[in-house]
Amino acid sequence: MKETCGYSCDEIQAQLCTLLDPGTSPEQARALLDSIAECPTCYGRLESEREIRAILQRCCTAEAAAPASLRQRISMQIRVTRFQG
Amino acid sequence: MSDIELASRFEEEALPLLDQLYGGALRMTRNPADAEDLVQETYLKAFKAFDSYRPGTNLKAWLYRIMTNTYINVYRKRQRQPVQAPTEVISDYQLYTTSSHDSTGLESAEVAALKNMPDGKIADAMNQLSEDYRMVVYYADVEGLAYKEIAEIMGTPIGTVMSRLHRGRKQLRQLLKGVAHEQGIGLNHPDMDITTREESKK
Repeated sequence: MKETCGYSCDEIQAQLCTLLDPGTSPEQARALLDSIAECPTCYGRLESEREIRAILQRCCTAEAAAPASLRQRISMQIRVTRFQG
Repeated sequence: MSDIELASRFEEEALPLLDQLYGGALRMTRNPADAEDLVQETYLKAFKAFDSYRPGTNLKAWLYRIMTNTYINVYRKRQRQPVQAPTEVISDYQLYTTSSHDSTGLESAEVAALKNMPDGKIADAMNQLSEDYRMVVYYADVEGLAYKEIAEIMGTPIGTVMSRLHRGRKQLRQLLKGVAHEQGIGLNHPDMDITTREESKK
């Protein structure tokens, strides 16, 4: 299925992922962003994609506070191992 | 560098990454008790091998690499969770994603519904991905690691990382659509015909 801009959903999604990839150069990202911004559908998808990643990050970080007891155990373990040589 | 210096550097640099490592371990094991054990073992191994860590390289990626190896070698064998289907098994939703309307993105109403969802619901969707897909999506989209770093962590070529990422993201978005759908969002959208498809197979 093609969008009004002529790209297929998969092509658009691939471009969005390249844009959001940390390895993409600022120049490349700028060029992609310019082309995406020309099509309201694509731009909407970009917004969606950004939001989905933000939601994922929020959810995965929310539950990821390591228990204090684990931190203590590891600290203790490091000290013991250090003294053992 | 003396052992004492090395140890205090380890505590200063590696311990602050504990929450992130634990988050990754939770995704790997899908179980808080296993995640704690895995992280503890990882830190012990990392500490013993810390003189082989090259300062200036990504410490988090280095720790993740150790954790991945620990998980594969020691952990997966005695996991409390049931064994998962291999990545290659084609599931219903994969078939579904390759059907006529091959949509990967989520509609704005679906995104809005997901925003208000309890965190656990989203994490559950993440946990339904097969292990390889789940971890690659986690490293890229939650941790923001570059493909090259992910490839090193997982011990696979970059091309494998990219294809797993592509498929993993796609599957996750389909699952998230399903989660949004449970809330009655996007019921009339053609993408949301999962239930009808399931029903018609019976």
